[in-house]
Amino acid sequence: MGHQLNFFLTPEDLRLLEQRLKEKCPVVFLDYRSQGPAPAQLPDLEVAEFGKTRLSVLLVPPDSLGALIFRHVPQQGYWTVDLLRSPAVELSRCFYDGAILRRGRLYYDRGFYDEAGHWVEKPASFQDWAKKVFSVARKGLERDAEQFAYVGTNAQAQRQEGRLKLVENWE
Amino acid sequence: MVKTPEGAKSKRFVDVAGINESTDKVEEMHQVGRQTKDGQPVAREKKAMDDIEKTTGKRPKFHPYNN
Repeated sequence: MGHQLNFFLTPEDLRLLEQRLKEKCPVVFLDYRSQGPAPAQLPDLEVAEFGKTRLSVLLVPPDSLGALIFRHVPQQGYWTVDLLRSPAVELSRCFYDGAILRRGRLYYDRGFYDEAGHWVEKPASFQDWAKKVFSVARKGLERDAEQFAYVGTNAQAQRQEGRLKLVENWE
Repeated sequence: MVKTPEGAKSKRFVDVAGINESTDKVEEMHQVGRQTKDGQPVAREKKAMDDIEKTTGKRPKFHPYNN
């Protein structure tokens, strides 16, 4: 079963989220892809170049790095983290070009079915940590019931000034 | 997540979406579910796909798991 938190965050909102996360819970930021079966750590959550930088990254509790499951993608020449089976939260950062802001989200699975069809629950310590990440993310954001999402302060201000349009992922 | 204000439910979650990794834009949508004896999606899957199509203009590709 998956849990998700949808949001609209400008780069400035994302910086604030990163700051809050670093203050409130131990977290490591990882690239989804790596050259080998080992975590590729990111220094921060900043998107280097919208339209070129991959927007999905992973949040992982530092003491769970060794429990990550990696999958080789030989056709593409990289390794990737198996989110379903790993103690990790996916952060899909919002696409932003100054005029539009696309929906992003936090997502994790609390368990999965193994190859024998048995339910495997992820460790309680990870689930508690993931709930904390969601809680920290919610604080400081405004709930927009119409959008079924939270909106960052900066995104809200730009929207109210008519400078920014919140758009869906198929638009 | 797809807002479906005019649908049978107010929002829907596409089972699997193919997303452009640098723009977050949805390129493909897939729905997984049961099919009837004559090979059609069961009602709950059909309603979900109808709602999604109404909003996005694209119908998710259906993948039955009870072939």
